[in-house]
Amino acid sequence: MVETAIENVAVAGEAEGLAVRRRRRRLGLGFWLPVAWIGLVVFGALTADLWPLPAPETIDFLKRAALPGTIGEIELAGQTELSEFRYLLGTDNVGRDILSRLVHGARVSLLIGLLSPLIGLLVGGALGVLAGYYRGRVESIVVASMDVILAFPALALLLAIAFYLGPSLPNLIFALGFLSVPASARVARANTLSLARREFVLAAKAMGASDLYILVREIVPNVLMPLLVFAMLLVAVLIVAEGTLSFLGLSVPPPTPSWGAMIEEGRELLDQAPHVTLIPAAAMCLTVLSFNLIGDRLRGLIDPRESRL
Amino acid sequence: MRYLGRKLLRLVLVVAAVTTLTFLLVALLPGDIAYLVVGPTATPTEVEAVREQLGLNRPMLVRYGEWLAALAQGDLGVSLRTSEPVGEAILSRLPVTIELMLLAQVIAVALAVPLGVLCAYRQNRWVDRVVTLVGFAMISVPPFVMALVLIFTVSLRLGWLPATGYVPLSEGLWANLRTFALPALSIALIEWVALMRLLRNDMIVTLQEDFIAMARAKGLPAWRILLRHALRPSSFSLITILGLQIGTLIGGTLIIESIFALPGIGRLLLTGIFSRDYVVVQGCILFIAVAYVVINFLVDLTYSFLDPRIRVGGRDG
Repeated sequence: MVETAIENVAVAGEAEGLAVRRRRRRLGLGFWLPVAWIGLVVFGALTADLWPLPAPETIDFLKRAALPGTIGEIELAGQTELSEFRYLLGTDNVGRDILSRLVHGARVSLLIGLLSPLIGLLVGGALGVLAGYYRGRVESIVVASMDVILAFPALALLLAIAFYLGPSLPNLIFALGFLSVPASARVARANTLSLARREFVLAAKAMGASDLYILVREIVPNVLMPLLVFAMLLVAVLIVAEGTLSFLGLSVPPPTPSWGAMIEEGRELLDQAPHVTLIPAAAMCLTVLSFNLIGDRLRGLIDPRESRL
Repeated sequence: MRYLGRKLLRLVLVVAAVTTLTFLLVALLPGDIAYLVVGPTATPTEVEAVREQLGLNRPMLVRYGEWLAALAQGDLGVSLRTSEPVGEAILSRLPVTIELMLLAQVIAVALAVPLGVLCAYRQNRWVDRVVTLVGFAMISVPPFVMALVLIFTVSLRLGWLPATGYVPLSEGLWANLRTFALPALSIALIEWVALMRLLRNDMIVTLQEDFIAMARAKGLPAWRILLRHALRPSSFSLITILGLQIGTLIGGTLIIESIFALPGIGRLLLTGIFSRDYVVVQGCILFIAVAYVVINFLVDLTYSFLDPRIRVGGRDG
């Protein structure tokens, strides 16, 4: 009797271990491919200046809207003489190398897509944790003010900020960061609310720990993971938002390449040279999809463990 | 009734806050709105003249009061470029935006409901996986990219529909719908995913209920169980989100209108931005924000009347 019980437990344990292992294996391609793509984009953005490519502003007047693989003569970055060069991804309407603009444009997308959520998560996360922990008046004020910001349709507010403050990289980072505060605060508050009632917080309180200690050592580490998952989705949303703005010509001003602007520039030749539009569009979609997939997998990873506790 | 009162109070507060914020966006500008209006090449005297003409010299509180008073009479000011009253401009462009939103929602629901039901029924089978994957891919496409891809394939390569342009409803429903098809599709092909996921997840829960087992035991065909028994109790949150999405869509139509050259509110706002016409910008943003708040309020209200639990329970719901 006892033996079979032990055996059952052992079998169950083994099955569980197997399930965990299987889940980890399933994390596989759907997780690592997106990670690899983002790694590639980040690598491209960081090393954009080191590649044997023409500068993103260099124009080859003879090869406008050239197909991928066309060979032209152009000054490469850091050189003064013309040399033969193969445009791997072709050139845009004016004759600039698309690959070079793509890797330089990635900087804008990544800078905005990574820095703005950071602002949103720091400010919103702090507000949310405080609101969820202290409840009462603090919570009412935070929730009410977040509701007002959320009451504005995000794109309209974004356009307003871009219009009034003028489009520049710091302004955009600030504006998008500001817009991501309310949602981050919501996520942080919801998680804090359920955490604050848990036994380990109660235990810490019973031990006479100060609020600060409980917040920093007990609550924040536990809110971090759900916030991180949310951050992935936020990055995806903000890259789209920046793309939309630069598509409208309201992001970083022209000489700096950005994906949204590249998509817009190709629009007039959409029929004759679709690759000018579709290549940066594909890069943007893949990046957004990657962040979405990573976020989804991470959520799948933490949710079952959360519910088992 | 107390619930309604609380909701109304909150509506009034949020509308007041939105109004003030819209005004402050102009008033608290670092730099000078007059500079923005005349452009970067203006001389100081020109700037001074514009400032005088727009009454920007007076204290902010006075301007705020006057603006509010005019607002209360439905006066949103007069466009700096076209001298058209902004209120009228918005109203004349409203039908286009509404038609676009409605069409997009109809298409999105038409896609989401059958696929959501199918995925719930075939949970974790290959149909479900494929639809989920396709959904993931589509939700990752920015609306303006979706619009360009549709223009490229459907109108440039296949030549089925016009790429841009607008035919008013008065010139025939068919011609009108042809110009709206691609813009509505560009929104719907992204929006349906969220609706489909929601319905699928709710339906999976419903399908585990006893009355479904009962219906199965009676030997009813699967489609009948799904459509007649399971769909209605599962569609509750779908309907709510559908309402709430109308609010989000107002923002989403902005860029679509500008790509397809539809004369809606979004295009009015963008034209205002590019011609540095701050009165138009202010009016449009205020209109969009208030419409958004009011629609969300109404949806909330309908929802709570449908489901008494909300009225009694949710304090912050």
